Parts: sequence; C-alpha cells; structure tokens
Amino acid sequence: MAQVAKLIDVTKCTACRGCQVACKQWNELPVEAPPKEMAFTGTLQSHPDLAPNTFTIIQFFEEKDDTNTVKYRFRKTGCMHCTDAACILVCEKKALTKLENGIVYRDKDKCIGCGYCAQNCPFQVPKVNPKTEKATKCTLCGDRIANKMKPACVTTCITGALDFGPRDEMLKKAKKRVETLQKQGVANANIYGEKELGGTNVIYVLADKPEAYGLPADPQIPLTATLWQQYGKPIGAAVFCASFATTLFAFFLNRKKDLAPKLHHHEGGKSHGV
Amino acid sequence: MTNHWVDLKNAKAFLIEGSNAAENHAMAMRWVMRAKEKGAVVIHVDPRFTRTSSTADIFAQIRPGTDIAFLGAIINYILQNKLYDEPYVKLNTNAAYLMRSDFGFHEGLFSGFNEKTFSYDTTSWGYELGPDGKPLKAESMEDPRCVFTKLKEHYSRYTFKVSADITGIPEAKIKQIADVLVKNRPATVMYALGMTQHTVGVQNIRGFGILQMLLGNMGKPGGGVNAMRGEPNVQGSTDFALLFNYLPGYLSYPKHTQPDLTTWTKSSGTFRAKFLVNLLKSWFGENATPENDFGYGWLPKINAKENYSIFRIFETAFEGKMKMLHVVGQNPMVTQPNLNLVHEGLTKLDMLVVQDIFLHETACFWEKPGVDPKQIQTEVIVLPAASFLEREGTKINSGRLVQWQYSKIKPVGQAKADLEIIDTLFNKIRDLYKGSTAERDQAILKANWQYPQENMVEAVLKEINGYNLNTGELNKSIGGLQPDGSTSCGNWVYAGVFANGENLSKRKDNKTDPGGLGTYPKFGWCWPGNIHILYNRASCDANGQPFDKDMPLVWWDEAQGKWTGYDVPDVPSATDGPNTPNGQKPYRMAGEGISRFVACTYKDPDPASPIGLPRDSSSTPGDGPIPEFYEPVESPTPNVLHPKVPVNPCLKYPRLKSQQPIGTSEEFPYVLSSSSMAEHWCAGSVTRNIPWLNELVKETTCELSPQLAQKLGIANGDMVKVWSARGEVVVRAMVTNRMQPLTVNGKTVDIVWMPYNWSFKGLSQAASTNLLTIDAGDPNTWIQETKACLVNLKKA
Amino acid sequence: MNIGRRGFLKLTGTTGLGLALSELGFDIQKVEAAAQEFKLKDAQEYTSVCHYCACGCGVLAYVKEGKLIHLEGEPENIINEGALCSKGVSQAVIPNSDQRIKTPLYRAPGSNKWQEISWEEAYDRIAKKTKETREKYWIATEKNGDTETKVNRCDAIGFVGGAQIFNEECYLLTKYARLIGTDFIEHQARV
Repeated sequence: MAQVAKLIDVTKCTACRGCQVACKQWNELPVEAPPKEMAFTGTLQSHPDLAPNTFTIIQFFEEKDDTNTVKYRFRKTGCMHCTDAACILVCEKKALTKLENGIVYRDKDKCIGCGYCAQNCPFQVPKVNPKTEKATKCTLCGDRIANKMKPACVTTCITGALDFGPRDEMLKKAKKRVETLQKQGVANANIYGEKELGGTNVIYVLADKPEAYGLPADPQIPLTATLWQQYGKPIGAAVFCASFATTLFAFFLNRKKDLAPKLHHHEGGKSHGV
Repeated sequence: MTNHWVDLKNAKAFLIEGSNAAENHAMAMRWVMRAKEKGAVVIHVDPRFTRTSSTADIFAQIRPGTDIAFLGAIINYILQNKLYDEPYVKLNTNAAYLMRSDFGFHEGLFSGFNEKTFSYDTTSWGYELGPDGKPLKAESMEDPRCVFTKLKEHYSRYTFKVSADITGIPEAKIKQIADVLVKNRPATVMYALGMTQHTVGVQNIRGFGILQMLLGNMGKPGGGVNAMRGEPNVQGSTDFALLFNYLPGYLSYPKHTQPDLTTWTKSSGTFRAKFLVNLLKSWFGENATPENDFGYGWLPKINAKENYSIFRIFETAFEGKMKMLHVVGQNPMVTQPNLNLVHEGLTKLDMLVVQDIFLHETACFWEKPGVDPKQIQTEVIVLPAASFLEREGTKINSGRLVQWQYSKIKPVGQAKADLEIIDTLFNKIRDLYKGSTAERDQAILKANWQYPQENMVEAVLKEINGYNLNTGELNKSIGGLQPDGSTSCGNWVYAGVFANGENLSKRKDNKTDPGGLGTYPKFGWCWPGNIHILYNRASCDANGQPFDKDMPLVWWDEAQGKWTGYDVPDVPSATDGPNTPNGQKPYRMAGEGISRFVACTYKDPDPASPIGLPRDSSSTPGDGPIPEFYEPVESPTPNVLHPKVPVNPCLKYPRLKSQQPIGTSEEFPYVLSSSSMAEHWCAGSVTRNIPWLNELVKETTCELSPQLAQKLGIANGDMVKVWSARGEVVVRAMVTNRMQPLTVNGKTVDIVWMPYNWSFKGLSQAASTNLLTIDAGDPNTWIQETKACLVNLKKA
Repeated sequence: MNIGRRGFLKLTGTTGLGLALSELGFDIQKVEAAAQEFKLKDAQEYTSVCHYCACGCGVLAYVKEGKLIHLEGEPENIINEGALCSKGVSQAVIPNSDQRIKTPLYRAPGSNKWQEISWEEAYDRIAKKTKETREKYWIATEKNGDTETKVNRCDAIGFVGGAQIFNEECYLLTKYARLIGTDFIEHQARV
C-alpha cells in the first residue's frame, strides 16, 4: 500500500501564506484572536507558534551575516506525520493512529484533550483547545485526499514549494531538487524527513542545516514517551506505582498544568466567515 | 506588460526593480520559479529587503527615487563597451536618425525650457527632416549628430562611481548586475509602483525601455518591460479611460484648443481619428454623421492648460469648486497621499456618492476620529454594490488577457451590479432632460444608450467590440474598422473580442500552446488582436527570420506569403512582407514605426490626407526626451549632477501652498518609502474585513534598521511617532536587518518603510501612512511621489 | 460522489494525484464517512477571476443552495493552475460577510448616523443633484486665443474609481460621465 507524503521545498517558498489561509478555510478554523489581541511576534510571522485553530504557519527567520548579507528564510510548519510518532505512543485513548497511507490520524471523538501528545511531540505540533478540550493538528486533508484532491495548502501553493503524492515519488523529487540546488551553488541543500523518526510523511527540502529553520537536527521520541509506552500504557495509569514511574507520572501531571496555550484563544462567533 | 505572466518562464534573467512581486503580485513568482529552475538569474533592486529579495541571486538596496542614476550607469557601461545588440539596435531603433542641431542638454535642462511656465518648447527635440517630412538617417550610428551619439553623450556622466554615490548601491554590485544582464539574454524587466510613484515616474520607465532596446530584449519571449498592475481591472479602467486625459483606447482627450475633429486630428493623426469616429458612432449611433463631425462637438472639452487628475478633484473641492463626487470601488481617504487635504476636500462637497461593497473611510469620512460630524454639511449616499463573485462580465489582467467571469450566486441584500446602477442612473438623468433643447443637454439626449435588461453585460461587450453598421455583423478585428462612420467600435483595442459572434473571453483551451512558450492563444483573448507579446516583429531580422533560432516566436513565411508563428505577428498587415515598408515597422504604434532611444518629437506625414494632416504622432514626455536623474521633491541630499536643478524642472508643486508644505532634511532626516503588502490590498477596504488576513498582519508598522533603532532608543515592537511636514501617526516599530542605512554622497542615509493599507474603519484599524506622504506628482502622469518623502521619528 | 460538472475524474486529472482509492490506505469505513461528509459533494461550480492584483488568476467557486461555500484556484486557468495567494484564497468570505453593505444608505448634512433608504430615493437624489449641479456650474464656451470655442462641460462634478469594476462597467461609466459633461474622471491607476 502506497504511503503518501507532502513535500515542502523551502527554497521555493515566498511566504505568501496562501497555505495558512487555505488551511483555515478548508478546515473552517476561526482566527485565534481579533487584531487588537494578537501579539506582535517581532517579525512578519503571524503567530508565535501553532495554535489550536492554526494547523500551519509560515515561520520567518531573519539574520545578517558578517558581509552584511541578509538571510530571510521561511518554513511552513505543521504536523510531520511521523512514522515513529511520539504522539501515538503516549495517547491513552488511542485517539491518534498511523494510517497505512502514513497520515497520523486524530479521532476527534476519542480525544480527551489530555495534552500528552502536545507535550511529547518532538516538533511541538499538537495544541489543546481549552474550550473544546481536544488536541488539534494538521489532518493532511484526509477528506480531500479521499476525494482525490490534494491537501488545501498544496493546491493553493503558488510557487510549487508544496507538493503531495506517493511518498517514494516525493522523495525522488526531493533528491533531484537537492541535486539541482547543489549544482546551482546551494552547497548545504538537504532533505529532512527521509529517515528522521522512522521517515516522516512530510518531507522538507532545505537550503541550509535544519537548525536554521527551527528544526531539531536529530529529532527523537522523548524518553518520557518511550517509558510511558513501554511501562505505563500496558499496566495502566491507575495501577502504575513503581518508584520511577511515580516520578514519570508526576511529570505528566505537572506538565498537564502547563497546558495553557501560549496565545489567548479567540473562539468567538462567526469570525472565519464561511 | 509588453509580455505576459506565463512568458516569465522563458526569461534567462530578471531585473525586478521597484516591485515587491512576491508580495504584491504573488503569482508572478510561480513563473519566476519555473525560470529559476532552469538556471535564470534573479536580480532585485529595492529600498528594502523583502520576500521578493529572498528569491533573488543578487539584491541591491537602492535609495528611493534614484533609479535613473542606477539604470543610467548600466546604460553607460553597455554603450561605452559596445555590449549592445548591434543588429537589433540598427534594425529596430532610431539610433541612426539625425537630430536637430539646436537640441541640447545643459546643467540639468534640455533645450527649450521656459522658466515661467515650468515647461519645455519641445521643437528642438525633433529630427532633421527630409523633403517628404520623414526623418533623415546617418550613414553610421557613430555620426555626431545622430540619436545614438546624443544618447552616449548624455549617459557619459553616469559612471559607476557617480551612480554608487547617488543610489547607495556599491559600484561593484552595479557592475555585477550590468554583467549579468549582458550575459543572460533575454532578460525581462518586472516593475510596479516602486518605479512609477515618483516625480520622474515616466522617465524611470523610459530608462527600462532604453536598457531593453540596447540588450535586444524587446518583442521576444522572456524579454520585455513588464508593468505589473496592481488592481483587478486597472488595465481595463485604463483601457476604457477612466482618466481625464484620454478617451477609450488611449485616444487623446479633446481639448478646448481642438474645437472640431480636424483640429483634433492635426494633433493626433488620421490613424487615430478613425478610431475616434468609431467611438463616436458607438456613443451617438445614428445621430453621429459626417456632417456633424460624428457628434465630436457634443463631447465636453477640457481646458488644455488645466489638470483634472484626482489631486485636482480634492484640491478644487477644498477650494469650493467641486460640488458632487461619485466614487466607485475606490477608497481615496486611505490611498491618496497627503490625506488631511483629501479629508478637507470631502467636507466641502455638497454631495458624495459612494458605490462599494464595504463601508469604508471615504464613505465614512465624517466619522473620522476627532472630527465633529455636525460641522460637516456634505450629504452622503452609499449604493451597495455586488461583489465580483455576485455578477458577470470581463476583466483584463496585467498581461492584457481578457477573461469572462461567471456567477451563480445573487448579490447580498439589495446590492446591485455596477452595470445596472450606472445604466439606471443615466436613464434617470436622461428622463429629467426630456424635451430639452438646450445645447448643454444634447449629448445626453442624442446618446446611443438602450441596453437590454437581459444579458446587458454581453450587449455592452458587443458595443465595445463594435459592428459593421451596414451588415449588422460584429467586427472581427481592428483592421476592419472604417473611417467613414460605416463601422462602430467602443474601444478599438478591443475590436475582435467578439469576432464572429463568439465571446472569446470565455475560451478555456489550456492545452493548445504552439511552440511551448506559454502563449495559449485560445485561452481567453488579449488585446490587440490576440497579440500576446507586443512588438514581436522585433524578434526577427530584416528578412523576417527569428534572431533566436532556439526560441522562435513569429516569422515571415515566404512560401505562404504571410507573417505567421506561435503568436499573432505584430505587423501592420500580415501579408506585407519584409521587402515592403509595412514589413519593417516593428514598433508600429510610434509614428516612425521603430523604437526610440531619444523620444524625439515627430509627426508622421499622411500622404493620403489632402489637407496635410499627419498620419500619426509620436508621444514625447513633456519633461525630457532622455531620462535624466532628478532628486525627489523631499530629498536627504543635494543633486550632485546639477545642484541648481535638483528636482524635475517641470514639476509644479506646491499647488496649494497652505496644504502642501515641503519638509527639509534638517527637520526630517529620514526617507520614508511606502507600499502595500502580501496580506492586505490597497486601501484594505476588503482585506481588513477578512479576519484571516487580519490574523496574518494586523496593523501598520514602521520598519527601520537596528542601527537607527539603537540611535533613537527604539526597541522592536515599541510604538513610535512618525511625522512629516504634512501629518503625524503613531505606529508599531518593526526593527529588522532587512532595513539597512545607506551611504549616499558620503553621508549615512536612513530609510524607513511603512505599509499604507490601514485606517479607522473595518475589522482591523491602525494609523494611515498616507497622512505623511507627499502629493507632488510626475508632470506627465500626475502620479504622486509616495515612494520617497522625508519624515522624522521618535519613540512614542 | 459527484461534485458538480467536473466530477472526480476531472479532478484527478488536474490534481495529478493519480492514486486509486484503495491505495490511499484509509480504513474503508472512514473513507465512506469522509465521502459522505465531503463538503463539496453535490456543490455547483462556477469560475471567476481573482479580484485583487492584476495577475488575473482563475478562481473556482462552489455553491450550495445559492450560498458560496468554498473557493479555491481554478485548476484549468493558465495563469495560476489552481493556486492562489493568501488574499486570493480568502475571497469566499466576501459574499458571506456580515460587514457587507446591504441597502442604500443616506447621511444627511450634519448628521452623525446612516439611515437606510430605498434605491428609488437614492437614484432620485443623485439624478436631481446632477441636474442641479450641471445647470448651475455649466461652462458652455471658453476663450481659445481670440475666439470663443464650445467646451460643454461642468467642472463641479467628479468621478473617482473604476479599477474594481469590470470592462463593460468601466466603458459605461466613462460614457456616462462624459455625456453628462464631466472632465474630472479618475481611477486607481496611481495607487
């Protein structure tokens, strides 16, 4: 069975942010806050981070090198749809599953908003909406794919920075693109997501090292998640009382208190319009 | 655009100057990226590092308003080192034409300047003419009297050093850009308001023309000078002359010095008089006859000495002369420069009519914070319009492509399509004049104005396309239009859009692309005559064969005896071969039939006219035949080329002394450049009512360099007060490395940038940048210098 | 699962996805549920042209029960091939926005509020004011050197705008404005 993947070629992204709006439109997501309550991020980046009603954002990176040359980098961020997915490991309610096509699928009805997925994701992707008490993230537009359309973000991408298709094809395309870029003088061009976390179903073409785009160089499933998977889940939280597990459990409880999102959330009314 | 959007994929290099295409014409980058994949080089020249710059191989930060100094140095380098495309230049330009001996340029002024009227007598800018009235040509382009020599002399002052001093771009970078353009042909030029919103706007664009002619890049796939236009149908509103100085199809608007059709023709030529007759037949129908000059006398005549631009609308309102203003789909209370004057003008109108989809700042000018509505006596009527998704009709894009728009939803509430509103209003007014014999009312009463309520849009499009009035058939092409009143055509450049009774704007064939150049000749329809790349005859040599064998576009087919190719050949007649005069007119819209390095004054004689009327008249900018660098009205530095003539000498500013102060660099040390951005559009009347877009960008910011921020004690995100000689605002500071100070004429110059899309209505509100900007305008087009004025700023 | 005249086959062709449903790896029950809930199912479609900059990107609008429910780039359009920028893709909000003006409005001199009026009243007020202004400020002739020439114009009425309206509307607006004698006609060419 073919695995699918979204390819994000950051070297072609112009940060028009059509993907951000297309995502909101398709998923009928309201704004996080009215303009007056939106925080200033310091750059043109819209939100400081992903948020419950914001499954994808373009992150803006600005720096200046010694020769006074400005580097202005953009990365579309969102769920990586990992193969070794920490969120799935820690989800008590089995709300998160890996579909055969590679999508990390969240069953809204099963999710209780415990936030373990949010705390253990190596990319800090899922966010819990405190009002609905559900964790949210990119769905890879499963409904569109099922109806033979590409994800909303990919469809709207103006420069061809985004593509979607069978994972092997996307990987082939990424490799070819990296070769071209290297020939054109982009020495550090590389692929991200081919092997990371068992191979992700979102693959990046980057022009520079992952850290330059806010990506961990070597993403790992947090130890806590592994331990939880190996010891916590089989026994069940209620009877889990070994000494180190107490510590682990306390960790989760403590973290859960911190789940209040970084942004003020605006759920009000019909603000998304359609 | 001389070329079109998809054609960008054919370029080998891009000069993107005065444009933030990635933000304001986002889809352009789809095609730039296609070219980049094939190795095309992207150069971006702009006052700040933007999302467009992030795609560029070379970014050059330029001081706002100094583009001619930059282009002049590249032109000089190409001329001095003979890097131009000689066969192209010889065949397609006026390089070898002899100029009058009294033409000259001295200390910033061309010959013929009148200091009292701030204008030129342009006679000396002409050619030496032969007995047939045609220009005389030199044996060689080296002749000291010819155009090419004058061009070389003019730009010899523009060394890399001079250019670097003025623009702030390092010498080495200017040379690097010149070399890239020389080595990578065809290169295309992409520009927008960053080039035009200056008091030298027209000359900036002439600079591009000269550069592209020298490089042999005009009329070719992947070449051209491409104006990326900013509003959905601004090409259409220009084509249809919602401009005081034109009639539809760029026909010069009749002046009080042209009381009849003959005097008009004396200035515009018989070629264009034919189109005016066709227009008059469309407007006055059977009432337009040869005996009454086809109704020419009924048209209002503007005073030749007056300016009726949008600036004068608000200034005459301020002076109490303008009584009634009807604003359709525009929000000048946000988009005009020097907004305080606009507001003053609006308060003095008797009646303001606004036709739009959202309640915006112009409609609600009386609600402006700090204003007492009781003191404002203007009546305001708002007419709810249908949005573009709620009505049908055609729009034309920047590449001159006309496309039909369908609709399957009804207008909201009681909103109506603009077409219906205009039609109803005219009929109401006509009813009020029923039976009037006053001369004043005859244009209204004699008008050809009877549109069916069913399918009114296509009925109007048919009138625009025009008819053969003898047969009743729709015109097939411009070639079929007659000068005797036997055909009608509402806009000659649109003749053929309804050829053979088919609405060609509805065509959707996205498969047929002969030559693989992205022309798609059966997708929609583009003017003129479905020619996608203008001046494409210039892509061929004297024998009509493509210069570039790898990328042929059009050619002369000797066997068939006609011009043919992947695009419609841009020639006067498809069957007039290279061995006829018509076969050697690559720039047939100029009187000379060729392109002009020096825009000489010239009227092409019409041998067929018994009374000696010209056939066509070449257009010459009033402020000079060759682009010359002048500083912006508000500038941080003297003009080092000619200190006594620092700014455009034809500029008339201030027009209203009390309302148009000019700031000095002592009081206002920083240069402000302003523009729109990716997420908000124009006045923001629409985009600021779309929550998702407000979430992306919520307010006006002032972008400034870390160096300037440090100097003024401003931290990223602080509120700052920005003020100019005209107004002040408080906005959020965005401190960014994308803004850098420049070294100009040996001194540091700081530039700040602000978007102009906000004001006091809508779902997101912030201060209006246009309270600060200057309303000095280019003497040819009256476009304002929004890209460069002086401000001061401090932490609020 | 027919979504309008295009149908899925056409969509498959234009999206280039080329995967059979069985290859997508969905739990088949979930797929069925998704297909049933698929919001574009049974929607009518029409094409228009994006109404922001002058790229002229095609848009594809989806309509159900007379309401525009979704909009994205028109896949067959040569300019944008289905893509749209942030502004372009947000336009489905426009016909659904509560902020839209729904009736003619009138603000009396000195008033601080709008009142709703009928179209008839709005047209009448404008037509009468036009007539009054023309008659009061009409310029019949002007000096041209030593002669008086007919100029037939009124400098007290102005028109602004047009880049938001269609070609047919621009043409009619030009014609209307010139026929009533106006010379102050302008649009957004400079902004």
